[in-house]
Amino acid sequence: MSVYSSNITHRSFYWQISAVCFILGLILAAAAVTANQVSRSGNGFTRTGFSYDVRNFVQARNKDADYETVLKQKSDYITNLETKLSKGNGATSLLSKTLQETRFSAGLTDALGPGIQIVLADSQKTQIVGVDGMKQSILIHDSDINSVVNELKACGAEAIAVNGQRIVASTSIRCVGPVIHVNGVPAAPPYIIQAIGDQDALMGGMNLPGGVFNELRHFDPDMIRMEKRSNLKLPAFGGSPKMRFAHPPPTPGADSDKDTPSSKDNQ
Amino acid sequence: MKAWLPVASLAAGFGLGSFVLLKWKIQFAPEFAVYLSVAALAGLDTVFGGIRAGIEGRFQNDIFASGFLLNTLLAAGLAWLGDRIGVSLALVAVLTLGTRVFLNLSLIRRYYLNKLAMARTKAQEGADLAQAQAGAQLAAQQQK
Repeated sequence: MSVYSSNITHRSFYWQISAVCFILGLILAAAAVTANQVSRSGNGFTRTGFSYDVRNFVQARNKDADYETVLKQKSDYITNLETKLSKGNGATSLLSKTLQETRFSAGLTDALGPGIQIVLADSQKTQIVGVDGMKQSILIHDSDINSVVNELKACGAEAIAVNGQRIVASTSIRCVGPVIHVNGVPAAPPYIIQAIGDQDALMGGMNLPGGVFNELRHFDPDMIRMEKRSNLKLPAFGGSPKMRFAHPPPTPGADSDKDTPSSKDNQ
Repeated sequence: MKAWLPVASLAAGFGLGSFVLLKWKIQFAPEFAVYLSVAALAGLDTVFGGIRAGIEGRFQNDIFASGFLLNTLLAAGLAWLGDRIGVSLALVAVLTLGTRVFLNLSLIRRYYLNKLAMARTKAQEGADLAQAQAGAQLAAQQQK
């Protein structure tokens, strides 16, 4: 008398059950391996499905670094020429000074000064979030960075950089897959936001009750680190300030406006 | 022990499957995880259903084999179809198959508990009979 034989027919069915159990084992293995894989790659809209080809990514980043070096050399060359120009007579020196000031306020030169540094890191904790009860870690999203930058501007920050990318008029901060692009350059957590301005005003603005960090602090206070820094050095905007579509209105009183595109269109 | 053969072959299948998948780094698309799980559950249901049919004396090779094949494919296929038309049929499959697995398991358990109880009663009866016989013998000897 045994488990896999019947009392009634006395027919055993070991082999059938065993054969099917073998195939069932194979299917279970496939299911287990796949489920394991899925759980390891994360879930939710945060980090799922972005299987990055790391080698291509590293190559592209190295290429970017090369271009950045070339760009830095060129802009250094331009600054050098402008410095030489300023050593000329009064008019050119005034012109050059105005140019330098304009470039500085546009964020095209490095900026030094006191300010605050904010480090935003993804939470190490996993929490149950959402209706499906899936475990998710709380991540820093582009909207968080955007609201922080906006709040810093509102508190009178004069120069802001996110992960070494200067915030200028044309800056975009946008989530692209698992990373956030600032000025089109990918930035990975932790996000370091530096701002030059009145330190107390900036700190106060960040700590406003119900302010930008309200929700993040509620989830996990460890995600945010803030400190005052007496001498910050913010890098210059690395991209091109050239505009393809917008152009200034023709200067009144200029003797010739031949060069403006609008007059070209009229001709 | 013959009774351990299915368990051993299940373990062998699982081991071989994991080994092959991990050794040659065969990966299924993450969307297939749920279909594979539903298929595995359908296979489990068929195995327990087969054992139950066997102890009830209704085991038939063709029904068992076709049931295993079709149930796994149907469960996975229905789950897939459900995802295509936006209805979570995978949940329905899990619910139905899970209920059947538990039902079959409880029937199998009941059957063996019954058998155990019967065997115990039989043994008790045997013992009682032996005692009665011994008593009768003793009485006969005393009468002599």
